[in-house]
Amino acid sequence: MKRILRGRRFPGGIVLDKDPAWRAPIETLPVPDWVALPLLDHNGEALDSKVKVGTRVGLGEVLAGDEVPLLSSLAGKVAAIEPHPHLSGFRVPSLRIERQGEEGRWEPSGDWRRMGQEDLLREARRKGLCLPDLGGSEVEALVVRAFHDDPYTAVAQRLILESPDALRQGLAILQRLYVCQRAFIAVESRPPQAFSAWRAWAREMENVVLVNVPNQYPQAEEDLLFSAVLPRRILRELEAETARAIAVSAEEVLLLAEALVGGRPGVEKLLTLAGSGVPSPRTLRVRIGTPLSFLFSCCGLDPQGLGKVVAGGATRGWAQFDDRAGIGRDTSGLLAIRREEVELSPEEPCIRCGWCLEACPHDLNPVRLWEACRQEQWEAAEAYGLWECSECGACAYSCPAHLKLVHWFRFGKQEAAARGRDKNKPLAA
Amino acid sequence: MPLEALPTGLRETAVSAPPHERSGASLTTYALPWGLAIFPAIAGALFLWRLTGLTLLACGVLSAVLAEGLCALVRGRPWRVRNGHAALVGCLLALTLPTRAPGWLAAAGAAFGILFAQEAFGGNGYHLFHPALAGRLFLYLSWPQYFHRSPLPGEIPLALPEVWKGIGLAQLNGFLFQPGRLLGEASAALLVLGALFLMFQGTKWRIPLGALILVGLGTRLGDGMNPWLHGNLRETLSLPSLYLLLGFMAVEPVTTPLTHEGQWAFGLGLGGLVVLLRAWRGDPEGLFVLPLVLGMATPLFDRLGDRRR
Repeated sequence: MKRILRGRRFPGGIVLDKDPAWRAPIETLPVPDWVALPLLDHNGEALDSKVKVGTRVGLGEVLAGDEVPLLSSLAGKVAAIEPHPHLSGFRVPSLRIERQGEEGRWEPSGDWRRMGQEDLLREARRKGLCLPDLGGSEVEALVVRAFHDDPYTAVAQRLILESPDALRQGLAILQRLYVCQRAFIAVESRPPQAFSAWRAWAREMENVVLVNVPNQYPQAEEDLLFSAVLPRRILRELEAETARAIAVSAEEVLLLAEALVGGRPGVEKLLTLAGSGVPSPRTLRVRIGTPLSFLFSCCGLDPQGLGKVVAGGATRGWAQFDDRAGIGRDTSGLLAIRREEVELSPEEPCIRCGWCLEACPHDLNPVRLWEACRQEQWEAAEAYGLWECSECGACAYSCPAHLKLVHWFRFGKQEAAARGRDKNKPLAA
Repeated sequence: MPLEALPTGLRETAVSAPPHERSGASLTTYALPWGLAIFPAIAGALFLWRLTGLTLLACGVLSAVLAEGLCALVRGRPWRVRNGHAALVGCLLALTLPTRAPGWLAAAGAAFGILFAQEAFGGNGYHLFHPALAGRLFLYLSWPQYFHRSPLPGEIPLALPEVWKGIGLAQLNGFLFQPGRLLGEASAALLVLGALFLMFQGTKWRIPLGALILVGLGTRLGDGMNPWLHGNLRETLSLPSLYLLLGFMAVEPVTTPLTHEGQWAFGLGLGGLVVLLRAWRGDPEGLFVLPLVLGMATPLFDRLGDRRR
């Protein structure tokens, strides 16, 4: 590694007080008795199940989907295919699989070093890893997101402290898969133990550049991450669409190594459990689809004492009310807040202080957008950038009047979409 | 097992949209720096004009708070006096009154400002005109005799050390230590101190900066250069009421533009109007009407930075 770069700041954004639970080692949760796997692909589109009720499935068996298949996180029997509570709050048609029998061993399909690009991609996707298919076009840069936007999630920090070799292998696989040598590792300078671990890790590799990104939320969003990390030349090429760049998380790098070197299917999720209702916040390794109730009982949390449960991070996550919902592929953080500490502040009149405009990373006018949504003026809302809003929450975070801006923008998107103006779907948790 | 038979333990959890953590900012924390910023001027006023100052301030604050509370009661809406907004309005109004004004004048002005310039438009957050400035205008038009009385005497027993006078900063003596006619004009320096502090607290600093730039420019260009720009612009810069106006009234969030471009337009417009007013030897009393005039155009100024796609 030649040097450490300083990441660029983008206009807008906010500074969050980060308190990641990086000190506790990753714990693998026991296998649950049942899992709930929603029949949705990585874009949120509905899938048709390939198995029927009563079928026996093995661990990692394909249940639905073709390109990036839905894999079974358990070895057992399909107990039901019906609408099941989902982290988004809706009841989504899901497969409920009950554990039965032994989980077999798994083997890699071959030496990854001898596989070509297409084979590697196919194999990774077969193992449940959702990597983009660029059809062989030029990839200028690989960006590894080795930090988290969320104030409590510490997955990337734990991974570098526990599995640096697997991460190295994963990066090598990625470099081969996308035929791109240049990798940028985006890290935050805190906690210093993780930063120095990443620096030591990157130092031993060629063509790997460490970028120290500033604490600016929401820098984990792909376009903002690229603008913070990549050199201007590459940014210009991205703009002109003459080159492509890929962003992956540190967790994906690890799972890729485990899948292609060890043959392990990507049926697990690394997430951090934190919040005032959790006496010792820590990072867990859970099977995808593990119900929240099982997670709580394994960690010794009393669900009745919890006043708020948030899946997906403190700034973007979805509040939960049914703990039969299962952990999803994107659930990196689980926040459990004690009943006494739940804060529900009512909305007060907007005093037009302008702090939300300063916080918005996408140069939107949240006040105008909010007014348009509230007054149900959908064309005006779209003119003010309704579909450019990434629901990061920086505006609502800064608002002194406690306006529930993200709620209004989601309402606006829902209504505008229902009127047939855009095909974008709401983000799944 | 069917869905209904599966165990579930969560009871009555709060379900709200993200973000689930906030910065801790509230309307109270927004108003707190204002209280700190206005404190030097209040301290100066109380030091020089003890009982009169206290009467005016107390009458203004009490009247404003009671007026806002009464309206909240009548409307059946929750009232948050903690927001500090009414208290601030009453305070600022009292500071713009002449030192010989009776207490009931402050009470009347504050009540008018809150009732007609704020609550009639929908309450805090919905008003178009600054309640304190509107209240002051009402008083000036209805009881002008109090505004033409001679001011109370008062002298801050301080002066610049001799050494500073030597290097040509003698004129700053007047700026720093001579009180003006209004309650808030105990010393321009106290106002400038507070205003500077406020500009770093997340308020709309572009407005006073823009205004000051234009007033400064006008001072350079005017004053005898042109036959009709025969005003006393240099004197304007040492008027304490200018700093009261720019530093505390012009940065009121609700009546001023939201966007950066709009704030520059408002600030430059305000500065321009100050220059025009003073170039034609306008009464300094007129300064306090200018933000009211520009406040009417705030939505138009905001269009400059609308960020429409």
